[in-house]
Amino acid sequence: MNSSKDVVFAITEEIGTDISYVRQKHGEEGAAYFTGVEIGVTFGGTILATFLIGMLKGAFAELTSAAGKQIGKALVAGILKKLTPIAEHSHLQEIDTERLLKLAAQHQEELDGLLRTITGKLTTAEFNDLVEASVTYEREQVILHLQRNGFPNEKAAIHGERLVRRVQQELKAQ
Amino acid sequence: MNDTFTDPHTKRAELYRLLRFMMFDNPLEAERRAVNVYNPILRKIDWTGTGALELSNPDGSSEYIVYSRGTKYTTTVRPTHLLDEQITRVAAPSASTTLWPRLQESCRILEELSGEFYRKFGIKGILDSVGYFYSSRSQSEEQPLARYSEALANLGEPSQLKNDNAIRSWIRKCWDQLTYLYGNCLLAGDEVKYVLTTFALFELCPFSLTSLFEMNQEWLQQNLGITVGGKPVTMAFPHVDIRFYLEQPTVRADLAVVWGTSVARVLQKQAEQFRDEAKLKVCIEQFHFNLYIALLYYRCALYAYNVVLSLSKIPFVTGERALQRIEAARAETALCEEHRVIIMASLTAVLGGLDLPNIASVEESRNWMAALATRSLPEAELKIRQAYDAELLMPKFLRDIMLGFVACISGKTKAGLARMLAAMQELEKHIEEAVLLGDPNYLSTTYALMAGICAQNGMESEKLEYSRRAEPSYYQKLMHPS
Repeated sequence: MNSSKDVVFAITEEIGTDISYVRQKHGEEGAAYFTGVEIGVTFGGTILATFLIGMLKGAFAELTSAAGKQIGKALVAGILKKLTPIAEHSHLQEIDTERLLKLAAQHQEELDGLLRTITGKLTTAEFNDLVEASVTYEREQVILHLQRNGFPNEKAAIHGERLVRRVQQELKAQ
Repeated sequence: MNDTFTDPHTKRAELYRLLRFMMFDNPLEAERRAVNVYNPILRKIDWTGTGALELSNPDGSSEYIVYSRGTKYTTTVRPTHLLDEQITRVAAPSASTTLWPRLQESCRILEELSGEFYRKFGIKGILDSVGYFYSSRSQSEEQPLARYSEALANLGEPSQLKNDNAIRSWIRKCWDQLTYLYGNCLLAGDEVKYVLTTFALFELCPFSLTSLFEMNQEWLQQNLGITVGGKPVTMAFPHVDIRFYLEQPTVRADLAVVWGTSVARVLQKQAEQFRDEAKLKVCIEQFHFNLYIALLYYRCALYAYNVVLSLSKIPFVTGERALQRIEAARAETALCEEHRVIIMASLTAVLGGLDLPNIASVEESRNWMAALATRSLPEAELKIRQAYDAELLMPKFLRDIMLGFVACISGKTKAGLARMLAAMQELEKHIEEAVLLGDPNYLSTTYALMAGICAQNGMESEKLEYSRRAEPSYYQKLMHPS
């Protein structure tokens, strides 16, 4: 599995050219931003967190799933509680790029820890299955997240589809 | 190690880089931009601090580039949070003519290097076309000649098109012709922007296309009469201003908004497609060509969005769909504007002399990379990703070479070399295009760099292999395997 930093860079690569929607949503009204990669990296962390929320909600909803049983309801609930503030973090209007990067690094550390907790409970094959099993939940969460952060519906749908596939691929990469 | 493949191809690519800079709006605007780009005031700005540049336009209005701890944005409203002393004023540049002699000189050198190239690529025609902007014909007080109508004259007489199918087919042919002429720098962006957008409006017309032609005819007859000098007044070419159609009393306010924004969205999508394809190109020349086309479509989309947002009918819009479109148009306009500026900067960077990586020169790219190497790995990596993801300054293969290089010098030699090798294998597949389009020689120079890294790390056999691939005979053999 790649580190969350690699996954976040992959996300940035997918949405980098449209990341200005996020600035438009969170920045000063009427301004045309020249969005740096920093906002992409920070927002990328929130997408990864959103993806994982979708993945775990899927495992949680499908009680029959092997991974769901293996991780356990209580632990899933605990991880979801930690993922939610990362996904919903409200610092995207921050204009100091240095501070944005620090936030992104903190989130990546937390995400790495949470991923380790999940993978610690599963074999590689089980983890890979889990990543792929909840695609509907993952997609729904990611699309909603993009829409909430300024992406128009049509673009959110296109990016959501691509992002889910890319994150799955990155998380499964050995 | 040669930084370039062959001379005439390289010279032609260099010429096209200058031409694209001059023709993405028009050569006279480019002359003014060239003055601004090299303005010493701009070089003194500390972009990492907080402040703004106030750029005065020739019409007396101002635009601001606001920068604040790494974030930049443009606005036409004076940023109220800044004090006067935080705003640097840049006067409107005076007209100058530095690019025109430079272009003529480049053409002369190319002709000297290869008369065959000069003829084959129609350089004389291009030079004449650019020269038009410096002639009295284009600057006459009477309205200058609309060269698009002259360029499309051989595709049919608009007034003779009697039904929708005929008009549609004519539009398609005109569209192809105009993009070809713009792509080959025979018409400037400003000359094709309005007409292309109008054609896009025609293509999405919610009613009969003949009725659009009738609008033109009626307008002419209202303004000129039924006959002039005993001859009936007929439309020579339809109006190339989408406002003319959207402001017609027969077009309801809601319809005008939905129709106009649909046009803008189609053009924006075209721009995004060319932009995204550019990033994956393995030839520098194709990367810039795609960006050049994307820029035209972004400018067309911007024009359409701005017209819609300034329609006199806007206060009368009531439908939910149209109201949503107006809201979305504001965000999309900002996004198109950002891309317009970014792509313009990217096409300008390859002329050299800016504080941006110039990927048209292996030496300048290498210097930029070497400067990054003095920073920490995360910082260097971020700069490279910024140049690729946010600034559209380089295609993916070049980003991967650079990421591989900084990984190597940060101690991750194997992973770095693997990344560089993957990029090289991709470049090898496109080597013929790269050579024929006059790209800088990233193949030999990167293999030489990889050989050097291997030598420093005691990887003797790899060093020998990469040294072999750095020889011109290697790429020549790739081009001619037999």
